[in-house]
Amino acid sequence: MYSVKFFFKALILILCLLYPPLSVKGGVFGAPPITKVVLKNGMKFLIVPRGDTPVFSALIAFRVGGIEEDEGQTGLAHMFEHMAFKGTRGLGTKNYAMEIPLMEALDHLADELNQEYDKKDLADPQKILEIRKKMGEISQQQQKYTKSGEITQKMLEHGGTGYNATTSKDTTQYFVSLPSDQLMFWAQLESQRIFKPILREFYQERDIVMEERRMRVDDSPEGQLYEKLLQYAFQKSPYRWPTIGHAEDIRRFTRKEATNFLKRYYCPANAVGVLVGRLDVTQTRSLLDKTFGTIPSPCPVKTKTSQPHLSLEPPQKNRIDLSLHAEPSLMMAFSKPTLPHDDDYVFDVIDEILSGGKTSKLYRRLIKEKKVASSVSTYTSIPGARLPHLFLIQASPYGNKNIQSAEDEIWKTLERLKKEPITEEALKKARHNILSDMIWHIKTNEGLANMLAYYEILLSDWKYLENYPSHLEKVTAEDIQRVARDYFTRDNNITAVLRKK
Amino acid sequence: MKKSYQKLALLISFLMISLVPSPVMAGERLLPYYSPPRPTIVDLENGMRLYLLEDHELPTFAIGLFLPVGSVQDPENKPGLASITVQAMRLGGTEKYTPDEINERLEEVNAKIEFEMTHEYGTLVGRSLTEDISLLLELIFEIVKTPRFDKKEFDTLKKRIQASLDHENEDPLNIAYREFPKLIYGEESPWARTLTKKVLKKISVDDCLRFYRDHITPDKMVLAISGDFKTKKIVGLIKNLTQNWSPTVKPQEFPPDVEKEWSPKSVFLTKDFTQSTVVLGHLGVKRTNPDKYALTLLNFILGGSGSITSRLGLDIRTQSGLAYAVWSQMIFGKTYGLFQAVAMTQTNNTTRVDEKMREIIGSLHEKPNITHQQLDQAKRALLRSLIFQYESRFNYVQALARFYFLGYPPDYFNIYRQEIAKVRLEEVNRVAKTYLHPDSLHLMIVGSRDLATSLKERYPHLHIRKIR
Repeated sequence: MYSVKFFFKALILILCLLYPPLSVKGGVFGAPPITKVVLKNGMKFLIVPRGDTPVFSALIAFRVGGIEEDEGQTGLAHMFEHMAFKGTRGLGTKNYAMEIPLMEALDHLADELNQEYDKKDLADPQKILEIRKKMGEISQQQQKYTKSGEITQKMLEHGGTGYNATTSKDTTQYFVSLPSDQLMFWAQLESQRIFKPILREFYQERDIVMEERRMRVDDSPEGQLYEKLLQYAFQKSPYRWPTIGHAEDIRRFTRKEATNFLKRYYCPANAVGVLVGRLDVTQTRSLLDKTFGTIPSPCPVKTKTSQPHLSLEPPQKNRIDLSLHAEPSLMMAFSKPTLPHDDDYVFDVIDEILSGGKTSKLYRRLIKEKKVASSVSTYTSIPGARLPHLFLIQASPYGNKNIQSAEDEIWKTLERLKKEPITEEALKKARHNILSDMIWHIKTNEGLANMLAYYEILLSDWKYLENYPSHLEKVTAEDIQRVARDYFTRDNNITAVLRKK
Repeated sequence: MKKSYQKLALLISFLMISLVPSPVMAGERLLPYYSPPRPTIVDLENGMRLYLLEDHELPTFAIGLFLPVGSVQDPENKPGLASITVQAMRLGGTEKYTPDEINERLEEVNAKIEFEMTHEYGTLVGRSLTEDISLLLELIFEIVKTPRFDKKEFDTLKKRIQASLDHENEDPLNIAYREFPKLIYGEESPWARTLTKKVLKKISVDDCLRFYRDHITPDKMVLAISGDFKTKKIVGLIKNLTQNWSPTVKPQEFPPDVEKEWSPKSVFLTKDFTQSTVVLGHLGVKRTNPDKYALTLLNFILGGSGSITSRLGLDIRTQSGLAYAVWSQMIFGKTYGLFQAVAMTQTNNTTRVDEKMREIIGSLHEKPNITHQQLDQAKRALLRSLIFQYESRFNYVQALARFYFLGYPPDYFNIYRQEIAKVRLEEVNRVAKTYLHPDSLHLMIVGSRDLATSLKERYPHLHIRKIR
């Protein structure tokens, strides 16, 4: 049975975990304290000693993502993320001095290649081939002086697992988990290779990213539909282009562009680090001072030329149709404001009510009762949360013949949400499930690091989480009706349909 | 957007490994001193074994059941039945509760129960908050002991499974992972066959009920439990819930060993993709083979770390920019396992990548050129990361339970660590010679039919099939 008592217990639990003073008294679940450190160059760190196993998870997040790109350079944030694994002046190389002229020669050829691409239809395919061949030869010469992959190899050798990075529209994050006795190794390596990378093997990496795009977008029906949806869902917002970038832009990236991007955004004040695991706070602090703390601070915090669009905008189109050799898919999106707007909390509850599990409204309606789709899910922050964004409903209708009925059933469900207030029990269940999901999320060191970094990047303060339960508690049945009425309208909607050819 | 392969990482199956004291390699300490917590082991009268480990940091509870039935027990004419049966158990209600009641009770407290089926065993994983443990356990054993197999739910399930089969061919890697084992083991082999739409039509709810009665038993069932609980109380609860439950079932039988000889085949599966997925590989070794430790290291060096530092990763990805996704796997099986190398590249580069992969595998066999330093690096990476086996208490007890279930010795964690530390360079070179067969590689390419002519020239016996 669901009880009010339980809800408060969950709430207290989250508070205890995130707010140590409360937990001291109760000591309920051994909640770890969170220490926030600001280094003298402005870089922030959160340190969370936790657990018994001698391991820790580390995450370095930058407030830079697809949003910061300019049109014509889409995908640069992600491209740069790849380049941060290429080494430094001392790592990844046998002789950096010998690499320099070769990299410059490559840059020169890359410019020539771009000039050819600029000719569009008049471009000479033979010339393109020749330039690429020359680039291949010089790259091979450079290989004599590089130690490819040395950064990753060292990390593995020290017991690092899950060494990787992600780029989104909002943020770029670098992460790894290591045995606790490798903390110093981690701090020394990561502070160098992320902040002072040498962008060697740049043009091979450009090809690798092209392959990544082929895999994730071109050969993925849903990837294509999603890209189209974003393209038309916004008028001016930088959310309208894909994180990985347009193929046309990726193939034209130059090392110079990436270097400029690095200078502009990769400064300590624009980053936050999170360390969770078996750590000593005092030792960790002094280690951070000596490593990350010595990175020079100046960041010409000149953001991109065009300011991100901060207000809600209607979609450019209400409907997109795509025909592919693939099973049908339906994406219905609605513009919504971002946190900490009050309505954002209401959407979290709506998300849970609509698609949280087999008892949710959309699952019941589409999958169990009407049998028009094989799956349905909803997402609250598409494609990010730093700017106004989309609430997305995605369904997989059974064949073309069920696309319309799936769409109709979704609209009917949304209409009912506007007209019929949900019961107090359903509301409590939704709140409870949102909060308990958070408990599962922070069960791993990595999960906790992730959640803290996310809110530090988004709102400059993880303490958003502290107030989250009370905000959630304030959401009423009327709020849900009101938000449904305000946002789930035809004008505010864009629907993308993938039809089977 | 992951730099490396978020999706692929899930597919790259790896050996669950762990260890206890601190391994020493050439006088070097590779693990921090740490004595892992000891789980409580309880054997119940009905044959169930429990591994329990308390973990009071958060008010959560997780339980995993290993069921002694796998897809190799599928009837010959109904591949997929084992998997469908457990899904029908989960969704079809129980004697006491309707399907809706089960879901409502679980979701009211945000508890979850999920089944999965592998070749050799099935798993059920359940989780809840501490205060809902009794409810979760009650529902788990309701489902396992007295499933209702509701007809209406079964029809919906079948419809959904059919849709997932339709979706399978949208992803080239799905196609490759489904079809490549058929090249190795044969279309009809229990180790390779898969559910088809035609078979799905034939499978009835009665088939599931029969399969359930024939195969689900507490005898040899292994449970892994971790979370915020008192061990004594949980053992009592489970005893109560499973007393008087001891159905007789058919013993779990495994198919005879697969044929060790093969002649390499080349298959081209065509579909309108912009990339080709190239798979090369052949039959591998059993998990009882003492050479598997040397092979684990060999594979790490070849492409097993899933990383850009392996030979495949360095050459095909980092240095030539031909692929984003490239890796190799050495899967150790109950019968002979599987060795495979995979790369995804744009259509134009297909043969170049195929050649490069063959070269790299070939040179490892012919003239491995592995230095002591490289081997030590691989060992350090494997050994130092073993500590992560303990990070999640649930994963730790699950690994212990699985080892027991698969018949590994009780101190397998230690054995694994010691055996990896012991491997010498000569052994890695020897296993490269013995177990890699660059001249007998099966080839599968999933990609655009535009390649058909050039591939046919290269491989005259190429078998071409269209994927819909």
